[in-house]
Amino acid sequence: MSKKTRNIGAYIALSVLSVIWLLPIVWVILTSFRGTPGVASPTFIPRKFTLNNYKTLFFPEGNQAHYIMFGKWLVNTGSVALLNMVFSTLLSLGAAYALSRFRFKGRGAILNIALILGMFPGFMAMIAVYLILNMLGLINHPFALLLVYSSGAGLNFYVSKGYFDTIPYDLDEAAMIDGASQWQIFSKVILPLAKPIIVYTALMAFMAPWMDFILASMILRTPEQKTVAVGLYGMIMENADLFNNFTVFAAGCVVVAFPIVLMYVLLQRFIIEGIAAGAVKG
Amino acid sequence: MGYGLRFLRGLIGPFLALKEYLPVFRKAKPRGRAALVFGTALLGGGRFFTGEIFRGFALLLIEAIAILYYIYFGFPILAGKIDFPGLGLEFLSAVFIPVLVYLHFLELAALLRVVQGENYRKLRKPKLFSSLEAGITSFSQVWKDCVSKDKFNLLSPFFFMGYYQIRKKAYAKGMLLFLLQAGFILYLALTGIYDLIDFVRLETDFRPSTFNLVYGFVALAVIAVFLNIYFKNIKTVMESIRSGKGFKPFREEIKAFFNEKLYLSFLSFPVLGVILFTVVPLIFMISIAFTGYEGASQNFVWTGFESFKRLVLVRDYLYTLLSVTRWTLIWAFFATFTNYFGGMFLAMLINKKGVKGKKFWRTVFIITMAVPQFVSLLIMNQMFAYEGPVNQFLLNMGIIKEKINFWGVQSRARILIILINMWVGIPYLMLLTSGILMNIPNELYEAAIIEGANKWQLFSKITMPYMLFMTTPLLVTGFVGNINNFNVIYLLTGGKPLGVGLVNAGGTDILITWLYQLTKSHRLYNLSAAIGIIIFLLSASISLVIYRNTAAYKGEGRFQ
Repeated sequence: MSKKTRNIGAYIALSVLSVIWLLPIVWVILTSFRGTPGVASPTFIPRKFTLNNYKTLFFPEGNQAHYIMFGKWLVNTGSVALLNMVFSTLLSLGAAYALSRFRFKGRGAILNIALILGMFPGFMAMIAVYLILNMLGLINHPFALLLVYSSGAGLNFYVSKGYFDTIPYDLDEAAMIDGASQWQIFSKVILPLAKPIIVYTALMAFMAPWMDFILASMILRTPEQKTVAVGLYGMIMENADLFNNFTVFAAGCVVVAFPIVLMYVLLQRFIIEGIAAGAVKG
Repeated sequence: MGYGLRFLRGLIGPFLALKEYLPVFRKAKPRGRAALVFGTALLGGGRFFTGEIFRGFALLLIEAIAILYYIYFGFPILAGKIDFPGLGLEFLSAVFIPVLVYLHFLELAALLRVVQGENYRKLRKPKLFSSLEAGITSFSQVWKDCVSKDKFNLLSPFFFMGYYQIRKKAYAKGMLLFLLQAGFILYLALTGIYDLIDFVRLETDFRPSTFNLVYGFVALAVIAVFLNIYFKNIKTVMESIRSGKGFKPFREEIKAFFNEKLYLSFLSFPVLGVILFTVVPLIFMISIAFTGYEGASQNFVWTGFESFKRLVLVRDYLYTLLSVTRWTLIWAFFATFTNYFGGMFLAMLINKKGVKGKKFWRTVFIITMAVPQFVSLLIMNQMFAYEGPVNQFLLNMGIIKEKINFWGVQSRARILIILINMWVGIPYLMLLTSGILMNIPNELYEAAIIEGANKWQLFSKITMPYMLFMTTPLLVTGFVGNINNFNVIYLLTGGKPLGVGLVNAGGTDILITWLYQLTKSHRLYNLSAAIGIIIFLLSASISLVIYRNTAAYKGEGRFQ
């Protein structure tokens, strides 16, 4: 009896929490279909449903056409995301593998320096990154983002290093006895076992350009070069026409978030495994 | 009652120990006497003589900060000459004096024990120095042993890199080294030297000072890399002459990069990337803190510690620095722990025995995690806006009569930020902690239940210690991450509402967003770089103290 009531308590708590967590999301989805403009509406469920917000998002008219270029933003973000996925995954997995499997002079120094670099406010370096990109003539170009993201990937080795550490070293030794070179051990023995962490790393690298706001907002200036994050921000902040843009903004949020949510739900297993690998580092 | 007595004894222990001072001093050797004299004069001064350099520096730093603080602020505040309303500095200044005095006695008592037992640390030579010494010794050994023909070979790498390799028929390698040296000399003669000179001058009429800084760092880096290869080459030649062995074929050397040197191939690109876009920018910004870079002009000179002085000695800046730092620490503390315990609570709820649909519940929270953070933060910002839906809803329900200005009042905005941050962060922490929670050995619980422990005891005696043990590093990185959590503050409030008596900062600004305001709206690059360094020192010292005092760092074995 008491056990059953306890579980009922747990269900009630979980339901309440789920509602709290889902309510804002439901609100955004409803807003994106709302027929009347403005941030607030008198009822939670809109009186008038419309698809116009999505239409405006992709085919804006009048004044909005000057700064809403959602299709371009999607292409910019998508191409940076795909390329970043490839480069960042290669770089960070390589670094993680080297630091996990090899013992060499300077290894301890690299681990310590990575730890110390992580303690500097990331934003501090961004001012200088801006100046350096300025020297290279890369300001206002989405691929400058790719350069910065992939260059930083080397520092994100902790999670995958933790995962490689859990793969027993006996496997390497057995392969070495069979005469395999280190490259063969990596590509034929370890990589196939590290599939979850590869997926996780790739997924995170793919996500980064969709989520990053601050660096992108510093580098990208004109509407046609923006990523979705910067573009959507500009639609409701910085003296924009909040009243007329908000429902369109909500539609943009839904378009961006939907594929990401889908990926998270489908690839849940890998994400949980990746987060667990990163949990017990140090 | 026993505890109280023991506590009291511990408290006055340092004073009691001092009666040993004179006997120990008389018996001590000169080194011990010097340690005692300097240790008495300055906090940490004695540690330099006992060999505990690190501790000495740390204690000395505390002493220096305290002395500076009291000269400029502490005593004037206590005397009522200046005041900082709302920070509680009067109380702090008064309370801290006995604490400081007590700290002196505590340290002196500890030092006394070290001197008494002569538990001195060995002073190690700096690594660079000792390796240089070893290099010279082995070089002179090889020089003595080798025939006169090889003496020329041995000297050759000092002047002509690659000469020896070509003599030994490793042509490709020799040519590469020769070209490297030629290129380096050419680089130095054409631009390197001038870049270094401009780096020191900073202000030139043909290009902005920022360029001079960057080119200067490039020159320094090139020189460092070249010197490294230069000395490595000398060592290789030396080894080759001593052992009489030639060089491996070039092709085999290349092959090694896929075998035993695979790590070099794997690390070179990431390291290069990190150096270019993380290390160089950081060094650049650190040096900006010591220049006069502000305003629209890109021309400036070195100004030493001017910007730090301005932050600490100009009253309004200091007031802003102190109150923003205080809020930063409060924010980081609450943001870290609310998410940690909230996530743990949620994980325990979902993983509770007998709760059905675990995957469903988990998916619900994963959905909210997947929504890009900037989207959810901007949405939350609008939801709680004055004209936003939350106000609308509360009005409709008749709960409030007037709209609430959520973001307009500092305390309200601060609480709301922490609450919304829970919404953002708890699902992630839930996933993170569930893995660790499920790894707690079940036998621990079973044994405790047999001994009659109740639910709360199970939690506080088993779950909590285990979790804390496993996740201390995580908490530290979380805390440091929250000190630097730009997104949440900037996208939710942008630092607003206006702060009372703050320079260029709002009431919810943390250090990192204040830094952003100073850069973006006011172009005070040098000040913001100085703040960046302060943030780093804050994060680094907190992490260091925690790591040094946790079991995981000390390697005291496994959890028990």
